[in-house]
Parts: sequence; structure tokens; C-alpha cells
Amino acid sequence: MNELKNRDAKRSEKETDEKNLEEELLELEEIVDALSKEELPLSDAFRLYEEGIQKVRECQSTIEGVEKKMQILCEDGSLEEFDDI
Amino acid sequence: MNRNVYTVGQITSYIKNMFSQDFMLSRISVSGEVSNVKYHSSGHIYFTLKDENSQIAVVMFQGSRRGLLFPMKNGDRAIVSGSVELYERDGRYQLYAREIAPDGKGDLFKQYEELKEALSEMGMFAPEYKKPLPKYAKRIGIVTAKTGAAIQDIRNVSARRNPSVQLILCPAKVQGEGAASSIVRAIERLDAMGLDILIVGRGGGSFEDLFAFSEEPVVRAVFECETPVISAVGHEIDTALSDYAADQRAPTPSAAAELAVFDRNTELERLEHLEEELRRLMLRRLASEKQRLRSLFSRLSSLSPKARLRYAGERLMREQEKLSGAFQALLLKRKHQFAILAESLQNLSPLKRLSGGYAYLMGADGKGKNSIHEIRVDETLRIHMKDGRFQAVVTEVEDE
Repeated sequence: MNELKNRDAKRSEKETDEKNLEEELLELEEIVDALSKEELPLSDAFRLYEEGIQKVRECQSTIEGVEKKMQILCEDGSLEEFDDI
Repeated sequence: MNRNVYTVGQITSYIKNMFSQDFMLSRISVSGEVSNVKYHSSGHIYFTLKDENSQIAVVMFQGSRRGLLFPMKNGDRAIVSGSVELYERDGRYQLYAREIAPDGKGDLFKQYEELKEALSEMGMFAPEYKKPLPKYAKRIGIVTAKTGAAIQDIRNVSARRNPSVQLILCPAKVQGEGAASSIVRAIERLDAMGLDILIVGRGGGSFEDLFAFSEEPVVRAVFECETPVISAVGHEIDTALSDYAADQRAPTPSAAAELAVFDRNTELERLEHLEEELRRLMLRRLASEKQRLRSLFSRLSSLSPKARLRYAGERLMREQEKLSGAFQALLLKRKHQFAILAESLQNLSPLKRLSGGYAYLMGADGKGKNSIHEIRVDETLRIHMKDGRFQAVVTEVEDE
């Protein structure tokens, strides 16, 4: 029951997380496209470049993440490390 | 001793004849467990049908393939109908199958077909309900048995592709009594956690073993699950009904993990490439700005006050030269004119006129005399000639 109550909160949290990486990558591609246009004012180009590099770093750290151990969902709803090899 | 000696061929064809004359063996149905199935590329199927104590070789020729009523594989229980005959080349008897039907408890295969049709009519397999899988799933739920190949395969593939993805197993009983409800519950529990993707499945097994994934409650739970579901039941050739209801079907649990877990290195490489592209574009832009700056600078310096002053000075000098040239020319012209005038003036001088023996008269007061009436007797006159002058006294005045 507790699981069901948390569902909506967890779902929206998941969606923003999810959007972040996929959208950041899309935005990054848009930045590269924009930067390739000569008519862009130089100050905008600098701004886009810095924004782009920042996004690259953010995406890298999101993707690299931390190594995760497989978990098992127990009967009481808690999560435990699953390691029975 | 009267002994008859026969050739192998003779005895073999004698036995073959015995088989073919046997009424029962020419039309018989045999039930047993399928093993050693070989689907030959020619279309023939070879396998062994066995029970606890015995086994019999079975062949179904390509021409009888329509009689195969289900996707048969090792471990399935089947009822094979056909004839038992001798295969002379090997001296072996075989069951030549015309029909192979599943021998399930309560005819599972029929149940499967009926449910498939019913659920399909309800739209449960319709493509418009399929949700796309998120490309960068971070948390993946797994419904399968706690022990067995499936969970290990998924774990291995996931660790290779991306060790930072969180796998969460909700163990379920995947075959036998109560399997369906155990699977349904596991799906619901994981769905409530708001994960990115669920993998629902198990490793290979017989048709009966896999049947839990074709039971209506499981198919419904997969369909109704809000988290995108990958169904991965058995091997490539197995199709459970959960496969149809899932958002994506994977041929095996390993393949499901390949679909669900994004490859970390591929994405990192893509990012590296994007970063390089950003740098390259920025450097190119800077180089072009530098070029532009250079050209602006050279234009600007040609417009500076200093340059303008120099330019004006040069122009002034040119004008000065022009002016003095014009003045000189004018002066020359005037000189020339003056010379002409002086010449003509010379010609007009009275002295010039005197050259022909003429003389010029002036009174004592220095005034010129123009008329005889201005001259009186006894007056002294000055007379100029070409080369000198003298004075004379008037003695007589004579009017014309």
C-alpha cells in the first residue's frame, strides 16, 4: 500500500531524471548545430560554447554514475543487495 | 544340418514386411516427452519420444509439416500419430509422424490459441498501446526466478554494458502451481516503484513450463503495467502471450537486457565526439573572427586622423604645385604680352618719327607746339631732331 502511495511522487521524479539525460543530449546537439552558424554573434557563440562544455560534463557524470549492485525487493517492501553467485 | 543362411538385406526386408503388415503399427498414436529435436534445413524434423523406461526415434517429413500443431521443442509432452516402420539402411524402426499435437494438461495449447484470439480481439496486443522504451534507463525492474539462468544472464549483460544501471529483482515463481499469481504480484510491486523499464521473463523450458506467461492474469498485468515492459520468455522460438502484450518482445532474457540497458561506452564516446565538435567549431569561429579583426584594423588605420592628415598634406602639395605652375604660365604670358606692347609703344614714340629728317618743336616752357598760331615772332623754340636738339629764334610767321 505504501508502494502505491509513493507511486506518483516517484514517477514524476523519474520523469524529470529521465528527461534530463535524453533532453540534455538533444540540447547538446542543438548547441553544436547553432554554433556551426557563422552569423551567430560572437558573444552568443562564447555563451553557447560554455553551455555546451558544461552540458558535456554533466552528461558524462550522469552516464558514468556509480557502480550499482543488483538489489532484491523483499516481501516487506525493503530493498536488499542481491548477491548469490 | 540343414541351415539356411540369409543376407542382411533379406532379413531386413523380411522384418520391414512384418512391420508394414501389422495393422496396429500402421496407424498408431504415441505419447511421450520430446527430446533431441532437430529441425533440419530440408524441412524434415527428427526427434526422440521417450518416457521413463523407453524411447523411440521419430521423423516427420517436410511434406507432413502441416501436421505439427505447435512449436514443439525438447521437454514438451506430445502425442505423435503415424506409423511405425523399419528404416532398412540403419536396421532401425522409427515412428513416421503425420501429426504431432501437444499433450498438455487440459490441452494447454488449445487454451493458448483461444486466449490469444480473445485478448487480441480486446486490443491488448495492439501496437497503439505500446510504449517506447526510455533510451537511458537508470533503474530496471526484473520479474523472474531468483535462481536460474535468466537472472544471471541479465545481470551479466547489464554489468558489461553499464554497471551504473540499478537492477531490482522481484523474485517470482515462474512455473507450476501459483506461478501466474506470483508473476502478477511481482509486476505490480515493481510497477509501483516507478522504475524506468521492467523485464518480465524466464529461461527456456517446455511449452508447459512457459505457460504461466501465457495465462490471462499475467498477460493483463503486463498490458496494464505503466512502466514499459520487455517480455523475454524462453528462447527465440518460444512465444508466450505476454510477449504480445508487452511493449517490446525480446527473444531471450539476455536480449532483453541488451534492449533495456544502454551501452555506457557508446554514449561516452558520443559525448566525447560532441565535445570535440564544440571545440572545433569554437576554434574555427575564433580564427574567422581574428581574420575579420585583422581586416577591420587595416581598414580602420587607413581612416585614422594621422592618415587623413598625411593624405591632406599630399593633396595640398599637389594643389600648390598646380597653382605655382599656373602662376608661372600666367607670368610668362604677361611678359610676352608686355614685350609685344613695349614693341608697339616703341613704334608710337615721337622720337621714332623723327628718324625721317623730321623735327619736334617745343616752346621755351617745354610744351609741344601743334599749330602755327602758337608761334610768335622772336620766340625762342627748342627743336628736337633724331640725334640732338637746338634752339632757334622765330623771324617770321606765315599763315597758310
